[in-house]
Amino acid sequence: MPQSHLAVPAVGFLTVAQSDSLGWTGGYLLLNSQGRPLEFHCTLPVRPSRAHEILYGRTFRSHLIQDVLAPPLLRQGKTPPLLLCTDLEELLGFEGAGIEIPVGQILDGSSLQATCDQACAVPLPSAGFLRVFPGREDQVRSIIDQFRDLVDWSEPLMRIREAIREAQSHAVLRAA
Amino acid sequence: METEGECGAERTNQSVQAVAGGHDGNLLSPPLAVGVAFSWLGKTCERTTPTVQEVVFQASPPRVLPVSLAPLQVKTVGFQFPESPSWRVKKASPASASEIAEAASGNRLGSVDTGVRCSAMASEPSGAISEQSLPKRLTRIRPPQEVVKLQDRLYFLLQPPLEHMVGMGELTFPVTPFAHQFDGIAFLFPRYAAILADEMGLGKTMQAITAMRMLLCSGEIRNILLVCPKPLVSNWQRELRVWAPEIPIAVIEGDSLRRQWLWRNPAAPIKIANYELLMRDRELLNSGEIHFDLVTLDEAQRIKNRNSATSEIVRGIPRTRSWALTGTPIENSPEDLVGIFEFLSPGFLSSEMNLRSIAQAAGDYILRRTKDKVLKDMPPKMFRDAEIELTAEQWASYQMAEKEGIVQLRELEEELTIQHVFELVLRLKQICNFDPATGASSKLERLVADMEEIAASGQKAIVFSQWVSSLQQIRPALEPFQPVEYHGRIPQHRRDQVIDRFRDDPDCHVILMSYGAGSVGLNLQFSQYVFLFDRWWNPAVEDQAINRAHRIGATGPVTITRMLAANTIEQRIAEVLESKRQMFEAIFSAAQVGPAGGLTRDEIFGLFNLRTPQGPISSSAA
Repeated sequence: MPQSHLAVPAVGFLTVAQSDSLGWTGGYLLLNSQGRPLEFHCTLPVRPSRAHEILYGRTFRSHLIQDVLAPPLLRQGKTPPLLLCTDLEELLGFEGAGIEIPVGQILDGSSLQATCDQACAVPLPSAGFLRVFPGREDQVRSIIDQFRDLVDWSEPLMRIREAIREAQSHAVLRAA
Repeated sequence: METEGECGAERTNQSVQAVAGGHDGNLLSPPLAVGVAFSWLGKTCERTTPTVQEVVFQASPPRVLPVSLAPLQVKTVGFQFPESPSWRVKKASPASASEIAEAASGNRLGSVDTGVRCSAMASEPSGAISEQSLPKRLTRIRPPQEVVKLQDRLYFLLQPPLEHMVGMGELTFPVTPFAHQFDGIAFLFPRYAAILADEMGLGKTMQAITAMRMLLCSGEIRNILLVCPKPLVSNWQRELRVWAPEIPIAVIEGDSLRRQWLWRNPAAPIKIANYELLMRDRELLNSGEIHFDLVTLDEAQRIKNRNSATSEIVRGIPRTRSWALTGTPIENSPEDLVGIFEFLSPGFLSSEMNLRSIAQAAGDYILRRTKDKVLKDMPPKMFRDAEIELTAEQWASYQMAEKEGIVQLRELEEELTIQHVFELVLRLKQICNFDPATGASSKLERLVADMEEIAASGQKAIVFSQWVSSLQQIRPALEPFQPVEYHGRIPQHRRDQVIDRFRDDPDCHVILMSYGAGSVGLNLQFSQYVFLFDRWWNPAVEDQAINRAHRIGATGPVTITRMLAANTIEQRIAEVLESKRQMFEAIFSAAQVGPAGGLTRDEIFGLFNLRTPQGPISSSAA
């Protein structure tokens, strides 16, 4: 029986993988301060219809991420994270929409220059920045300090994608 | 339209009424009223008012089709992992840290049986890690095929890359492992049954230790038994001190009572035992009283014969995981591999299987790399210092000779010359090679063990000694490898034949050579292993000897094993030479051969810390 992780400081990472054949899959990974996995949740692939794409138009992607994929993943997590990190700009809108923890978008230096709000970027230990809502900088800095062993903050997103691939291939094998 | 009459009074009644029906059938425009006055005679007629008739277009109203979007249903699947909140690692004490630093700085191009680079790990404080210092290559732990449950497979996949674990957080390393070593650690970590079959010199020991360390620190296992040949016990102790300094270890040795206590002692997560000792404690091991989470066999080809007593005893040890380390998993036939697999996973392979089936079945359990495959990661020369404990007989002879020799040197007082000291040093070095009374030699035992692996791989080795007598004492033990000799006692006209045979005869795996023999033109670059059975005073002479094997055009990296007897004069000489070499390299370029060739007079006298009532004896002596 997995031990309770409630008292363990944790950081959440959330991203979405999209493929033409399978559709959209969300993945949510919770790490402890050593970067070891505590929980992992992923959605089954979601295949929106053409009507969805047409009628949502330019809001289709943000609707899918913000309204469809992310909420059930965050609800499934047992360990409350101190911070939610993502590579999806759409998830920045989560703050204020019932999510009380800070949400940060991981950016590298060149991506940051392309955005307007450089003032809300908190530098990460290894490389890149975390784009957060104004007023959250100090809180996010103190959280990052607790996770010094996390060398590369964009690397867990790669783990999520790899885990999604593994889960999907596992499902295919079982179906076969 | 109606017309009446012909003349004058014609009236034309035009009656047009257009009905434009909207969607509800209502008129959208009033009927038209047109006034027309004309006569075909040209007379003016009275104005007429056309009548409008209604024309109804029968059209059904358009249908309305509601387009509703069904909400997208999302199902999730999730896992919680049995993760310890933190690694179970104690911080290394300051003394340990300095030992590690010394180990890192003491190796120019390698470490014992590790083949690791010399660059010390940059243990940078938090916030100082730059993008440039992030490892470019990430080694992930892959779940083995035998792991089928998705949760278990994800557990391995979701671990941080090994490069992030190394040097960060709790796990620090004295030197950065090579890429292939990361792969080996990632191979071993998730496996319950594994053979690490890398070619000698690629660092099997280091990879095994690191994987064990990670398993212990993460709480996945609690106790480990490491079984190795007796001459390698001290080597494993030293390697564990370097690569896993925080892990307590216990060497099973001593009398029966002591061994029984050691076997049961829970304070040491890693226990080291030799194959011979297992026979004596067979009853305890097979009683079921002791269980190991991991049993690792070094030189696992020792159990290739399933019917041997050693193999039976080892298979009977209660355990959860089984690892085997060997550079030669197949020495003579595939049957050897079947024998090893009887330890890893009994019944998994059988002698009746053909070669292809064996290869297919065993594929996921074996990892073998050869130097040529990992060449791009390896330096051209790899040094490994084999610190070897003297046998009991050698140690007794050595202590007696040293004690007596120092007494004699002191008695000489002002008559003491450097020649006297040299003589004592040489006598002690000879004892480090062979016990004068019994001929026992721990260096030879180690050499034979290594040569077995080298010969089985089809490789060739050069063995250097400063004494021809030592070479001649070495020869009988190496007869299985068809040795040839090349030194001052070999007539000049036969020397070329010796070299030709060593080069061309595939069964001739070793040449025994003295430091003084040979010439600049001697070219042995087809040898990939060099053993310095005893070391020369002058590093430049050693380098020249080594370069006979390592030359431009060498087919692969050369592994140089420098043998030295632990806690003896050899070790003291090596320490002095090494400090001089480091100082020299710090000042001069590597291409120059400078004044730091050998030991100075002061250093030689200092080997024995010779003192008189007037003070330390120094170079002022004759």
